[in-house]
Amino acid sequence: MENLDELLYQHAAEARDIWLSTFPCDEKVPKYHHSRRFLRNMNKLMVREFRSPAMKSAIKGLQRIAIALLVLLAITAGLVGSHPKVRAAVFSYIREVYENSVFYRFFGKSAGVLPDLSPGWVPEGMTLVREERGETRQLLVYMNEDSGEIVLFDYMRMDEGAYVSLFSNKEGIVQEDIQLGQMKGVYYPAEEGSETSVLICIDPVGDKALSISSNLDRETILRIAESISCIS
Amino acid sequence: MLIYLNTIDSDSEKRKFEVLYETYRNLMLYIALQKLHHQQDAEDVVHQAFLKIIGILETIDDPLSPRTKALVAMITERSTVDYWRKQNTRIRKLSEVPYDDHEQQTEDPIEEHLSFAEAIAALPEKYRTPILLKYDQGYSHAQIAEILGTTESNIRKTVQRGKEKLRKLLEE
Repeated sequence: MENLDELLYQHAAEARDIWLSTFPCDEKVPKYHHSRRFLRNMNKLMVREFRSPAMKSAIKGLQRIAIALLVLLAITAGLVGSHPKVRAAVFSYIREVYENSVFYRFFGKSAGVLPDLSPGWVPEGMTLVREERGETRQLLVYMNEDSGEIVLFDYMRMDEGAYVSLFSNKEGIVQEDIQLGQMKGVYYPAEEGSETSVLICIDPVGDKALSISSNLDRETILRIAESISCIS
Repeated sequence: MLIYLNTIDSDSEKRKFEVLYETYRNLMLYIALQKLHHQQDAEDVVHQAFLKIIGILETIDDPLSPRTKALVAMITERSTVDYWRKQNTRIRKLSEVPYDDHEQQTEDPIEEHLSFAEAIAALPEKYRTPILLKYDQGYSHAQIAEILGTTESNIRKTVQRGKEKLRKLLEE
């Protein structure tokens, strides 16, 4: 008998074609109506798997913030009666600071139109990689794919009951009050084990919130914030 | 899906995957449904199969070749068997009824008077898939183990057993 390995190499392609012929030909394969769940899962799979390595790295870094920084709209204001250590009321929002979390709660009906967010300056090499503009919320992501540096802008119109939450893994959140043009802001530097810092600004009326999350240094983040048209 | 498409730098890989997805998703669902008879389960299997395909995307040269079609079909078939066995383990434990036609199939005699190629094609999936992945697709034992979600030593044993079945057949 010939060497079995040789026979297998010799006949494997033919065997494959014989096996394939047991399935219907391409024209006769049923055209299924795939469920929305399947299409959604496949979309997620594609988005996740085909990000560039730099984007994967940056997004991994930002996942901490994605978990930590939750913006929940249309939540009732029934929790306002809780017991914060610090409560600072400015216009139509209050900021509550707890051991490892900060809440911005908003009151009143916003009549303001959300102007287009547009940073006047970002570091060289950064390009806009994601842009979503809605009536009540705008999301912009700039990144430098070579260095992995990333800036995420989340700009929201805040109505009654809306709040912004910032959570920390540690007790005692470090923060710094910042004045940016007419906007008041609070800068939350990156914690140990994370590269992402957050700057949260509230407009003078108190019905719009802007968060800037980035792995850039403090001065660069503030410079970017100062260049934004709706702040300056 | 479209949100991050402009950030993809491996466009050729993405395009290749899109071709695979558009070309084979119906065939894959057909294969899965043959055994599972339930669309949601079958779609889960197809999703799992695509995950495996992404892992070996760089080894696929031509998405439309018969070789690639066979690769996709084999991965789907194995994913279906794995899913079916997993889903039925609990039922088998409860009923103590022999359930695994996959295992039974391995003991079925192969029909006589087959050509060598026909004999390979007629092998039970358990043996046929690793043999075709090795001798037709050119994957190493380690790569086959990764594709099929098992160990390299298990693949070596399975390929060896498959070859023994073929050898006996040829000696008859």
